Amino acid sequence: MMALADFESVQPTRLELLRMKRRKTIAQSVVEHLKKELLTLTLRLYELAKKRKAEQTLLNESLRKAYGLFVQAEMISGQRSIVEASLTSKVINFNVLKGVERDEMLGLSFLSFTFLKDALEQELPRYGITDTSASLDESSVEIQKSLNKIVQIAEIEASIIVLLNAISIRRRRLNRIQNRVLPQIDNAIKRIEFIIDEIERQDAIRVRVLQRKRKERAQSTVKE
Amino acid sequence: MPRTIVGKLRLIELNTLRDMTKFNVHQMFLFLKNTEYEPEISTTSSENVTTEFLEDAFLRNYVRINEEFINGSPKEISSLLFAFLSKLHFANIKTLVRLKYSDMTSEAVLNQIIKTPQSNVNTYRQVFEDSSSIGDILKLLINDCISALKDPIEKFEETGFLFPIEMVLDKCFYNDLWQTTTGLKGVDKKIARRIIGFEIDCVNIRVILRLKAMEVPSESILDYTMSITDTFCFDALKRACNALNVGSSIETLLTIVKNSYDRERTLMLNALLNEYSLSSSLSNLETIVDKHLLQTSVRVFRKQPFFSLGWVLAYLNLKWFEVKNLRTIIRGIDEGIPHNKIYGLLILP
Repeated sequence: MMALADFESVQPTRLELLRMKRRKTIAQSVVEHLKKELLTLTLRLYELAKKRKAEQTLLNESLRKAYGLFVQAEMISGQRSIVEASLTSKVINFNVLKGVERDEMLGLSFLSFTFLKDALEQELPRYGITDTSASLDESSVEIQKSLNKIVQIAEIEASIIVLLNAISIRRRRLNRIQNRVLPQIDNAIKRIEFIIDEIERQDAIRVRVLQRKRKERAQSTVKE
Repeated sequence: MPRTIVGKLRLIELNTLRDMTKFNVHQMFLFLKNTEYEPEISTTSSENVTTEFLEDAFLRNYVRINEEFINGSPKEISSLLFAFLSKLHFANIKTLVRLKYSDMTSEAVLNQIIKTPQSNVNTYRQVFEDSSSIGDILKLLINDCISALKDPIEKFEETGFLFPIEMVLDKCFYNDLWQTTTGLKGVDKKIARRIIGFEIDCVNIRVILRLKAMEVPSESILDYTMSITDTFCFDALKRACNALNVGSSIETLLTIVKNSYDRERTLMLNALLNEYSLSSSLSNLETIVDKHLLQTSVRVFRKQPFFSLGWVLAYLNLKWFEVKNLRTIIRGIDEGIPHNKIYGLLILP
């Protein structure tokens, strides 16, 4: 697109006027397109915000359940057993695999996170099972579900950030076109039209003056 | 045996337990001061009482009651009770192993260890200080089982998993206990084997169900079970371990006990199967196992001759469940759990 300062130096010709009008039509269609894009992005943003809220509720429930089961385990097997289990339980190595997913429709790339856990855990229990309650296992499973949920929420939040950036860029672009480019094109068109009109008017006057002079010259010739 | 009758009369009644779920820690302390727990809890004041202190006091009370029975019983019964109480000795060994694993100081031993007739706290502490590794602790405290512990110790050094060592310690305890019953005669032997055998099978069921739920390979599960009793022999346990999932393991065990016409185990496994189809919650299944273990003791009280070993073992089981219930109540109160939920977690007949 032409730099904004260039609109001032446009030659006031009919050709430039046509070029300016074409430029205005293109800018208007870009505005329409940006508005549609903004709408799509905003809808997607609302969807993600709604999904994030739902996931957050599930996470809170899951954490509450995990804590409840942990307390239940303490009640059944005693604090002493749980403290000992916590001292010796094998650490599970959790990891998050980061990837990129491209959304062709929106033309954006989103981060994707996959929750991974150490396969070693499947081989043997991490703590003694005869002096701890099964509630501890259930609590541990629930905590792992919670961690998975946290990773999902992180993925949603990363997508929200990408969307907000995209929305902000498009909004800035839209504002720039609507509030600066289009008015300047309009001004340029008005200026060219004004100058062309002025030139036409001057030409018309000049023609009329010439006609009058020619007439006067003809009359003076007849009198002589 | 009159000691058993007196002891049973001193057990906290079910209605009182229900009321205790509505107490706070201070009220609980004052209430327990007027019960058999008075010698253990009177070492502190109600202002300084904590749930950890009370939990410790309940266990010390259980040991004291056991010691009274051990000291006042004939030789065979005394050695069985001694083996029965070595449950806490083995628990202490596991604690020492865990503390050594996590590089704790010997001061931590004092907080985590309970005095038992087998050893006092200072002995455990001395062993902990003198040992440079987990193997040393095991050698010093249970040299009899050291051959059985060779493979688990090697596995621990390879993988860092303490679980195989802990399971062998449990096996050693139950094998010793079962062996002690062979020294008994007549009705005493029959009842001791009935109560202890049922407890061993309950442990087997818990191990199978929890490891099945954790998707541990069948062959490994079998290694951690105890084929000690006649009902759950090696083949029976193998079939249960090879079952597809928790539900089919219960079904397999149920088929086995139905064939052996074992009413107590059939009732328990039926209840487990019903609960599994309803909730699939392992903690609920464990509660059912514990309830049936308690009910067996209650049945022994009702049906067995007045002056028999069954009464002592049943009483000690009832006492153990009382300690567990008090522990549940005190922790629940401390966490502010609603009283009906605490009551639901109690193991009652």
